[in-house]
Amino acid sequence: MKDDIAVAAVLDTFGMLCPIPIIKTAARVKSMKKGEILKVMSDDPGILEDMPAWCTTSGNELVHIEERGAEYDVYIRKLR
Amino acid sequence: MSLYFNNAFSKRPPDKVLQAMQPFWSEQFENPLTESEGSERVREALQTARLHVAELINATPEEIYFVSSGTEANNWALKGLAHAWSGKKDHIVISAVEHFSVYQTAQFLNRHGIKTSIVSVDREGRVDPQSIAKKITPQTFALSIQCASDEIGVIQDHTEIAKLKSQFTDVVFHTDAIQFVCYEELNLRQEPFDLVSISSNAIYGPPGAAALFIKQGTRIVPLIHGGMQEEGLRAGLQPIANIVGFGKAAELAKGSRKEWNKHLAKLQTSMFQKIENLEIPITGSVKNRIVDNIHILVDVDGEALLSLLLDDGISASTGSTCYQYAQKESHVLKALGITSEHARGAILFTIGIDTTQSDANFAMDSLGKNLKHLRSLKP
Repeated sequence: MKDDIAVAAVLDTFGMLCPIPIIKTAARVKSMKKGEILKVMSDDPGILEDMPAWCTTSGNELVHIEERGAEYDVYIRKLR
Repeated sequence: MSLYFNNAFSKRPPDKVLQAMQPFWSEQFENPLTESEGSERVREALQTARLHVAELINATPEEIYFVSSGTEANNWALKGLAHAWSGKKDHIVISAVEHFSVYQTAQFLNRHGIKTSIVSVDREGRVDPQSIAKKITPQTFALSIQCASDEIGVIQDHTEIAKLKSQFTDVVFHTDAIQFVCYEELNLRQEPFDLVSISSNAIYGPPGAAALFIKQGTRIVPLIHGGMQEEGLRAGLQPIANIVGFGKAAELAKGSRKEWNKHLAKLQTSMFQKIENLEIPITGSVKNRIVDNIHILVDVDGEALLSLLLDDGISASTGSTCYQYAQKESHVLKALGITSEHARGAILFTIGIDTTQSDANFAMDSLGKNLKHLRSLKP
């Protein structure tokens, strides 16, 4: 699935613990255009719970979460 | 009279640096993570400092992360990489003359399963870049080789070492450039180091601020977790005044280091000439050396000589402060093949931009006089 996703920007939050990846995601999404997709890379399992919650509250779309061993690629589409 | 020859340990910040810092101890006190007019000014000051520090090493401001000291920068580089590579690779390479903060961090990591290869140096204190290459294995995730020694001032062949990066693209190259960048140029556009440590008090800024350059795309785990400071990679409210001072010092060093280098090189040459006349060996390479460093090995007890120098108003040291307190032989001198008996005669003078020719002459006259006295007491 990940190959089909047209990513506009990548945010690597490797080594950081939630909520830092979420705060950085919120800041990064601000500078993007509606409809664009941000790929967030993380090695914190906390992101599996926190990112869907943030997408719900911020009104953005969680497109996909790819698990690569101990790392996660989270794809978010900016809607608002 | 008091003459200061301990500039390698801390340099006196000039008035311009202190003036730049002053408002950030008082009216500009706000936390840069809050939203207000005051905090906006603090954020701007942080960014200006980041820009000046970046320009000093030809990097971009986005690659500069402020920390509290050069020691923290070196610890973060090695421990942060060890965490990032945990479970994948388990080997690092350092040289035998690294600063204590690299040397001890490697020892600490060793206890946690990271193997360390130590590259030896020649009698001049220099590492052969090819011997570094020979130590790198498929398990190596990082190497840490200083640009110049804080203790003996010897400059490594950093240009050739950086060239190894093209052969070992998946190894992270770190260099401790703390003592180097004040008087010498490090151009990261030409030398592809991934991580570089630099420190404020080594470039005439205040202590309490330093930086780790992290090349974009280099993965490193934070040493200190918590808030969003430094893009979430180094939590904790930044010491704004110290960082502003660091930035100002970097700006001054960038503009003046050629001139400083010329002034210090002249003083160093004159001191070396007098030292040669006293038949005292100079430690390490004279040719490849930072211009502020005069490290010698006298044939009397170094501590006794230091006391007599102090009586004449001259502050110098026996070398590394870490070892001075521990009364232990320096691993750096040992690496050069210097016996513990000879190492007891280690004396280090480090000159600075305020040192005058007359200061240097006075120090060398005092050295000659006191050395003659101590030699006369020898059985």
